[in-house]
Amino acid sequence: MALDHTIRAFDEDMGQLDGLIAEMGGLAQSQIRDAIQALRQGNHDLAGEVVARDKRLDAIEAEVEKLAIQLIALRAPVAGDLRQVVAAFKISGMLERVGDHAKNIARSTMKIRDFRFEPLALVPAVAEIAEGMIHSVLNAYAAKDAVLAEEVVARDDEVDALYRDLIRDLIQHLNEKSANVITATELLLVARNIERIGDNATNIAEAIYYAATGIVMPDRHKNL
Amino acid sequence: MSFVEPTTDTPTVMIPPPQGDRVIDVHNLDFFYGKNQALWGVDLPVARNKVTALIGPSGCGKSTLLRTLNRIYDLYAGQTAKGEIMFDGENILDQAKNSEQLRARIGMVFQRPTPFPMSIYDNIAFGVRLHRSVAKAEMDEIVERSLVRAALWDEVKDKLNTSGLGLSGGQQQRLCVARGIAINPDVLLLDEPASALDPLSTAKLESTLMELKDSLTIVIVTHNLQQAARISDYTGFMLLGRMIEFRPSSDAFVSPETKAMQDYITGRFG
Repeated sequence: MALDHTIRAFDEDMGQLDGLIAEMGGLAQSQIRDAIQALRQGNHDLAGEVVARDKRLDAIEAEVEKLAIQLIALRAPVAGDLRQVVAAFKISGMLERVGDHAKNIARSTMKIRDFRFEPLALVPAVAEIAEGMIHSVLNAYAAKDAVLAEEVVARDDEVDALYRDLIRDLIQHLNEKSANVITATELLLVARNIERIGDNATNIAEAIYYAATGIVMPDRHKNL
Repeated sequence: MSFVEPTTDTPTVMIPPPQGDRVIDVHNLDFFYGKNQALWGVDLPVARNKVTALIGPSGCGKSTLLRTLNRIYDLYAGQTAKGEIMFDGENILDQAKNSEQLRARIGMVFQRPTPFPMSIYDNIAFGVRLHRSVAKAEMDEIVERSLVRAALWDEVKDKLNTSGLGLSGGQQQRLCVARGIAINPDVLLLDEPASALDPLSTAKLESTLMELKDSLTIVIVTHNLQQAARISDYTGFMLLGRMIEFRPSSDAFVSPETKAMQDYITGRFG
C-alpha cells in the first residue's frame, strides 16, 4: 500500500505504533538472549538484570494499548488499517508474554546451582531458534510481509521437536541417574518457556498474516 | 490525488445477494447527461428488505445511479439511460412504463429536507391523495402510522397542523421519510439523507431506516463511510462511473479486495 493517507496525522500515528512494536520486539529479543546467556554462564547477576528489565516491556505494552485505542476512537480505521491496528494491539500483548517467558527462564536460572548438568547443553540451540523466530517475525511485521510470516510459522515445528528431545532427555536423567532434582525440574520449566516463545512467535506471525492479507492463516498442524 | 482511472479491464469484484433475494437488478447500465457518459456498464443487485449503500468519491456516479432506479431523471431533458433495470419482472427503462406509478413504488428522499410549505399532516396526506382518494379517518391512520414508522410521531403528535417548515432539520428529514413511506413503496431511495443533520438527528434517522427495512428495501447514497458501515447490508463502491466492488458490508470494511476500494475507504484518496 504505497499511498499515504490524506490525513497525515494518521500515518504518523501508525508509524508511532510500528515504532513501539519494533522497540518491544528488540527488547524481548535481547531479554531472551540475556536469559539464555545467564543460564549458559551460570550468571545469577545477569539473570537478575533480566528479571528487573521486564517492567520496561510492560510499560511499552501499556503505551501500545493506549495509542491503539486512541487511533480506533479518533481515526476510525477500516480495512487494512483496522487490521493493522488490531494486529499491533495483539502483538504487543504477545511480546509482553515473550518477555515474561524470558523472565521465567532467568528466575529458574537463579535457582539452578549445577550448571554442568548435561542436558543443559541442549538448551541454547532451542533458544536460538525461538529467538530467531522472534527476530524474523519482527522483520515480517516491519515489512508487512505475509510470506515471511508463513516461514516463521513453519520453524515452530523445529522448536517443538527439540523441546520434545530435551524433555525426553531430562526425564531419562531423572529416572536413571542421580540427577539434581531441582536443576532438572527448573530446566523442564526453562524448556517449556522456550517452547512457549516459539508459540508466541507463531501467533504473532498469524496476526501479521491476517493484517497483511485479510485472510485467516489456514489452520496448520499443531504439535503438542 | 493519484489513482488509476478504471477502464473496462480494471478488476472489479461482485459478491451479489442470491438472485431470488433481489428486488431490483441493474445490468450493464450506461447513463448520459446529453453527450457526456456518466455511468459505464454498471451492475447493481439490490436485495429485498436490506439496506444497500453506494459509496465513492464525488462525481463517481452514485447519485446518478440512484436517480435511474425510479427514473427521476425523466424529468430532465437530455438525460438518457441504456441497459437493464429489472424491477418486478420488467425493465423499468422501457419507455412505455408509467414513471409516476413507478415512483409510487420506489420513493425517494433527498439530501436537503424538502418539506412542502404546508402542515405536517398535509405534508403526508398530499402525497397519498395524489395516488388515491382516501377518507378522513383512514388518512388520519396513514399519517399516524407513517410518522410512527419514521420515528417522528412522539415529537409532532401535538402539532400536526403546524407548518412542516417549523421543524428542525432532522425532524424535517424524518418527515420526508414519513411522506415517502406513506404510500407504501417497495423501495426507498435516499441521497445523502443525513449530510445536513447533526449527529443525534443522524442517529435517529439511521435507526429509523434500520427499522423500516423490515417492510421495505433501502438504497442509500452516502459520503459518510461510517454510516454505510453502520446501517448497510451491502455496499457498492463506485469510481468514475463504474461499479468497482460490490459485496456484503460485513466484509466490505474489513477486507475489501480492490486496491481502489482499499485506498478510498482508508482515506488515501477522494
